[in-house]
Amino acid sequence: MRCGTARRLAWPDGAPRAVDDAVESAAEHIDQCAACRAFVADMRDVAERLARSNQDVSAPREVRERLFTALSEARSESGRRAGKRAISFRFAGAAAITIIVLATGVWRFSSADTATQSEVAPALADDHTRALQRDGIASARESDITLWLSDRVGFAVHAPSFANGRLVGARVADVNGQRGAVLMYRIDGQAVSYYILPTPRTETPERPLQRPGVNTSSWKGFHVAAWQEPGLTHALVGDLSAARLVGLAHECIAQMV
Amino acid sequence: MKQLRWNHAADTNRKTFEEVVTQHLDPLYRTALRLTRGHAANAEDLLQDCLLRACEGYGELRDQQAARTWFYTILLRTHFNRQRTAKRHPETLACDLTDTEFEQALERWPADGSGISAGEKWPSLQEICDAIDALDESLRSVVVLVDVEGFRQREVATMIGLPEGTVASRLFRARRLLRDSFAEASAEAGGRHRGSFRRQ
Repeated sequence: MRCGTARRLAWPDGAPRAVDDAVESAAEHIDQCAACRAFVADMRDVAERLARSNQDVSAPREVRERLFTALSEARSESGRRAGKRAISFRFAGAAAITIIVLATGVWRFSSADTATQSEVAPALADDHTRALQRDGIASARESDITLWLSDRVGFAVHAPSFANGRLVGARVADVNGQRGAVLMYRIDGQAVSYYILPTPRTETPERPLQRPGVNTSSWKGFHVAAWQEPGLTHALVGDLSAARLVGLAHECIAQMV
Repeated sequence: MKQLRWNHAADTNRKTFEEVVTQHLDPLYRTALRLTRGHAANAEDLLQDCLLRACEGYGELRDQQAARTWFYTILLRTHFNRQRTAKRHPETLACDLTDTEFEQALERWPADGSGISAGEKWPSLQEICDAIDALDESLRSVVVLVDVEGFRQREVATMIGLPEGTVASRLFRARRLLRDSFAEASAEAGGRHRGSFRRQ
């Protein structure tokens, strides 16, 4: 991958984009390319310098007073005119309602069988779910990721750090109807997903002082290490050995505690 | 004085509007100052126009959480209208970059150590403001919104009606010019006591 392409794909400040192979390759290229790392550092440096200018500049008191006076005067003038306009608005309103009633009648007469809508609904729902699963952010910065997830899931997400591993991004996932967060890591050179899914509290008795136990299983060649805390299910999924995933799970739990 | 089409039936919103204005006034004033290249009277005039428009349309703002972006969108559009350089949907400029051109420009980002080293002094607030004011209009508005005010590129793209890639390439060009300005000013400050910062 060329440096320019990697820099465009890993462009800082960009909106979250789907994490695909190209974005992952760009992140890997930047990790290995000193010039690209310097580019990213330069970008951040300039941005930080500019952010510093966002301090200690406030509207002078006399400016505030003039602005609020202008608003107040404009409203007063508007109030004197409002009464004159009221009657014409009533006529306009009645005309608009008539047009809407007529238009609705025409539409109902010409609309197709509603069965078509019910046939397409599951496909739309599936497509939406797939879109949700593709929705992601590529970033190695925990603050970016937790902020991005905070707008999308109904619980706080902490991104743990692992020795010999790095955060590469996050996405949301719809698992059995529950919308959860997925943090994506590269650990020991392998892709590992860390799922955090909401769980009904009644299913998980609260034991705040006990460390949760980690259960392992395998599915389609991937190992899963899962544990629970009140209200949330956590799982690490990846190509690593079950023992390694359990070790990582305990690192997660230690950082949560 | 402009006159508002204020909905008096919903005048219970009045206090809320003023509270919201108070909350956002300083950053809006700051941005207005940069958009008008530091001209305080023009900034105040721009902000007054913006607030009058905002007051008029306040009833349409459904989500109070979106007030900040909403105010900035009005501020920008008011500014563009006043400048008469942008139409309702600003056009992409000839100097805006395609993806390929953007990548080529990114590759040319100097890796020769000519940038700012860790030991160099940080520019003063006035130097930063001067450097931003020296930028072209199209670059200045983007860099102020993203880097100074902290908006996401996607939000800025929506505000000014441009593709996000165009915002990214403008941001890159603005940062490149500013970076050169900072380095130049730092070098001048090293040679003489304090150098002029403004790029000619």
